Amino acid sequence: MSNATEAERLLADAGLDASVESAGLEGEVAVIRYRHRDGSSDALGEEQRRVLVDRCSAAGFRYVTLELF
Amino acid sequence: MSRSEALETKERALRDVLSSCESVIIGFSGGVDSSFLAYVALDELGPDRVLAVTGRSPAYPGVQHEMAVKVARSVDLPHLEIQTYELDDPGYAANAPDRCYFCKAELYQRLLTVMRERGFNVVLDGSNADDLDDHRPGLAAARELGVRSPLQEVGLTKAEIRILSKRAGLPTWEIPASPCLASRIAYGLEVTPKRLRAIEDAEARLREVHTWRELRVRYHGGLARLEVAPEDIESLSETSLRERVIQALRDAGFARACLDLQGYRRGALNESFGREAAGARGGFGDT
Repeated sequence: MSNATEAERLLADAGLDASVESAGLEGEVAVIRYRHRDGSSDALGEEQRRVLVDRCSAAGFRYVTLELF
Repeated sequence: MSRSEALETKERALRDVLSSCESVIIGFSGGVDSSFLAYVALDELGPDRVLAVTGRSPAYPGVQHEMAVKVARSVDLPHLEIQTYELDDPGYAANAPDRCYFCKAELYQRLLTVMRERGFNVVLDGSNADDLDDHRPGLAAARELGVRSPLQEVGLTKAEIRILSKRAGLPTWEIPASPCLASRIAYGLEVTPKRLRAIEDAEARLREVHTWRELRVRYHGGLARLEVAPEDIESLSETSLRERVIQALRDAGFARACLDLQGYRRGALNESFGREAAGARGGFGDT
C-alpha cells in the first residue's frame, strides 16, 4: 500500500474525507485535498490540522500540506 | 552573577578580542549577528581598522542586502560589496547537506584576498554560541581557513546579541532570520539561479499581500511548499487572502503549490536526514 493510500485510509478512520497525493523528489510531501463532509471549505483550524498532520505523518510523510493549486 | 552582569562581561570580552585583532575584515550579511559584531568592532577599533564586506550572489536575499546597506549607513560603517560565485562550484550546486561548506569556503577565500590586499590582520564572521549546537558545515570552512568567530568565542547567544543590539539602537535587533535562498531548495535538487529567483520573487510577492510573522517558500521540484508561522495558518481560511496568495505564487512562476499544515519551523528541509545525521545535537542551522 502506498503512503498516500495509507494516509487516506487513516484519515477516513478519523472521519475525514480527503484525497492524498505524494509529491517531492522522494515522495516526502503529502498534498491533501480536503473537504468537510458537508463540502463547505478547506479546514485550517488547529484541531483539524493536528489530525491531518498526525495521520499523514503516521503514513510516512515528512511534510503534510494542503493543496493551494 | 546576574544576567545583566553576565552580558556586560561577555561584551567586555568581545571588545578585548576585537582589540587584540587590531584590524578586521568582517563577513557582513546585514543580519543580527554580523551587524552587531561590525558595530562593536567599529566602536572599538575605529573606521580605519574595520571593513565590513558583503558577498553578493543569487542566493543572497535582496531584502537582506537592503538591511546591510541600511545598517552600514546608520553607523558610518566602512562597507564593501563583492561578488561571490558559489553557484559555479559543483559541490555547492549539487545541494547536498554539506552545501554550506562550499558557500562559506568561497566567501572566506574572497574575504582573505581582500584582507591581504588591503593590509588587514584577520577575517571575522558572525557565528554565535548557539551555532555550536548545530551541525554547520560553514563553520568547518571558517576553521580551516583561519576565520575567527568572536561572538562564539565569548559565548554570546542569539538572544543575548538581540538584547545588546537593542541597547545599541541597531535596527537589526528584532529582524527575523533571513538565511540564504538556497536553504529553501530540497536537498538533492540542484541550486540554480532560476530557482533562486523564483523563490525570492514568490516571497517578495507574498510579503506584499500580507504581514507574515514567518515566511518561507520551499522548493520541492515543481512544487512550492509554503510555510508560514502556525499562528498565521488560519488566516488563509479567508478566501480573499488565499486567492491573493495563490496569485502571488502563480505570478512567481510556480505551477503547483501547497500550504504546510505544521507551519514554519527552523531548518524544515533538514528533517529528511536530521535525526540520523544530527543525533542529539539538534538542527542544521537557521533555515
